[in-house]
Amino acid sequence: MIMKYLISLWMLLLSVSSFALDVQEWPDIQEGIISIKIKEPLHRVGYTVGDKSERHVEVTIKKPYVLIKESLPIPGYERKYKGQDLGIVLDAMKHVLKEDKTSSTLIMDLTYQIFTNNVVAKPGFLPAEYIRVLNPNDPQKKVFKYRIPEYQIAISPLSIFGAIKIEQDMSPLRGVIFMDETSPMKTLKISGIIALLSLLGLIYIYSQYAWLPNARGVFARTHRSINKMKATPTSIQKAITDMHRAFDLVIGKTLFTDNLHDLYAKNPSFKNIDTELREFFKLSTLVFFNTSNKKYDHDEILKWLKDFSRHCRDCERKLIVDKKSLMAGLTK
Amino acid sequence: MSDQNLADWRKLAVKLEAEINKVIVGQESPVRLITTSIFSRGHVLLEGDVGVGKTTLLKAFTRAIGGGYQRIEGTIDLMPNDLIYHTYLGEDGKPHVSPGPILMSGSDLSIFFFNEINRARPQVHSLLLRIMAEKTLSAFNKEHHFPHMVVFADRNQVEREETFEIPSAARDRFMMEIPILIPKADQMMKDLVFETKFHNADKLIEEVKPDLIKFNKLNELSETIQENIKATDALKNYALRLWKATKNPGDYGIKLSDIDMNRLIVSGASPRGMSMMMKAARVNAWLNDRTSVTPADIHAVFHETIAHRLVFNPVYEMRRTIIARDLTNGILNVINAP
Repeated sequence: MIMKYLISLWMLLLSVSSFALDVQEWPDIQEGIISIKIKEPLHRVGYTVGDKSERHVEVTIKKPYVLIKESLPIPGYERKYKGQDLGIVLDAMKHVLKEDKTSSTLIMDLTYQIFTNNVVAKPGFLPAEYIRVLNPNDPQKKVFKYRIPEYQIAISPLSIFGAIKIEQDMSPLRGVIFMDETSPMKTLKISGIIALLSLLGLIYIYSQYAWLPNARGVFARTHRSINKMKATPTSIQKAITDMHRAFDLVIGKTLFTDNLHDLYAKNPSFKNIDTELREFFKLSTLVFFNTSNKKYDHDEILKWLKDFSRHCRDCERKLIVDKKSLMAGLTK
Repeated sequence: MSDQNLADWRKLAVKLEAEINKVIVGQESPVRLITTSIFSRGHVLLEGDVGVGKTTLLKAFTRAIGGGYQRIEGTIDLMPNDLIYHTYLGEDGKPHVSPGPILMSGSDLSIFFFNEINRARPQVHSLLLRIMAEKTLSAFNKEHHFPHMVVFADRNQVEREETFEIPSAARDRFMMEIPILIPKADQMMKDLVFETKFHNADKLIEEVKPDLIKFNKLNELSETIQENIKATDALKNYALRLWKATKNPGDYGIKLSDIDMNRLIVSGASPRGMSMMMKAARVNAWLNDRTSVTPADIHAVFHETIAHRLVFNPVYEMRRTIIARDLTNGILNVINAP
């Protein structure tokens, strides 16, 4: 019995304290201390369940009054109207507090989301918010409240009452039901950045290796591949074969010493390295068709091939190769 | 035969060419090819208009290499026995038999020239081809041998009437078909017409040093050349690709204008043809003082050793000369070496 009494007393105390919190009232701040600017949503009607609406609020508080930060609106807090849930919830709140000598400015972006709907249009509002300020110089530390006014909107039904097919309801009084574009926009921006970075990367790669005119030419590529080779018999054979292929590609048929004139007709720059070209064919014969067991200096041959392929690349670019740089006598 | 001997023989071969080129102007390429065929012991088809100097050329070679030179004219009524003997009534009023052109020089016969071979009947072709292949002949109850004989045959390409085209199997027995063309240089043409020394062919040939080369040593020399001149794997692969391309040129991307490449070739080069081509290439390498064959050696003889062996679709046979030249050039142009 005593226990039952104690529990009842405890519950009574709890309810009284919560009531005390609810009914606690602060006086309004006197006029002229706080000024406000509000940028309201673009439309007032056509809201339906799931929609979001934003308010941009700038509150300027003259000094010595300061904002009590704990009084800022709390996202997710369910509002009531006439004892019932309002159905409009503060979904997100971003704020910045700027201070200067004479005042402090609170900038808030309040995003509300609609969680109510009806079979017919009904009024609603983005609820009023309260902030509190105090004068720190006041020995009593008296707190004042400031009301950010509500904003009247109209909540539309998803369809005309009784209609089943929503596409038949083309009421111009209701706004377009927008999809939330935040996520796709974010993806688009990230993709754009990746594409831009890839493009920059490609430009870098291309500029590193292929920015010169004709850098994609067959001899340019062959020269690059030969330059990376090491002096082994296999690499030398491959280098010579690659050079043969390059010549064949240039003249559209197999090049031999007896049709060098075809190469010169195609690109007269090659005439300047005639001696080296003939030396190359001798070298090719030596490497592929000579059966003697004579040993050759592979380093020397590869070095010669690198120089020769560079000269061919220069000829491909219609550059004049310095005849002093030509080297013959390798195959002697 | 040692390498030194091969080198000495090469000098003689080069000298032989120089001697021939001294009297036959503007025919350096055919002279080189005939030299090649002589040292590789291959029979030759000569292709060219009348009066371009084919007989003079062969006589000059015979003088330089020695041995017997015989010639016969192909006619529609020529019979096989005309090659072997001919009969006549002697001064004594009795019938006599004397040896025909094949037997006249005996085993010393070194060059036998069959002029206008396609005028002769197939029976004659048949006999000649047997002699070419076996270098023997049974006549008068005796086996006659011609170990040093090389046959040169000329085809009349201009006239088609009363001719018997040599079948592809017969053409395949010839190592080369060499075109003999009129020199293109104006000065040479003038010389041939106005230089009196060219008017008397017999006298002209006397300028060639006789018996420069011993004809009866050529068989042995030829074998030595074939044994000593090597071919690497890369070259063998190259020759193999060339061979395959003669069979299916379309597969290798060879295209000729106005020719359906899928229908052009009835039969590509034969194994005998390719081995003859390599024989000639080896001799060419030797003549160029090389110890191994290079693609250049193959190129030097490819057309002449391969073109006449290719069997074309009858639709294209009438244009054989042009098509064969384009085709062999196309093959050499497309097939990479190495």
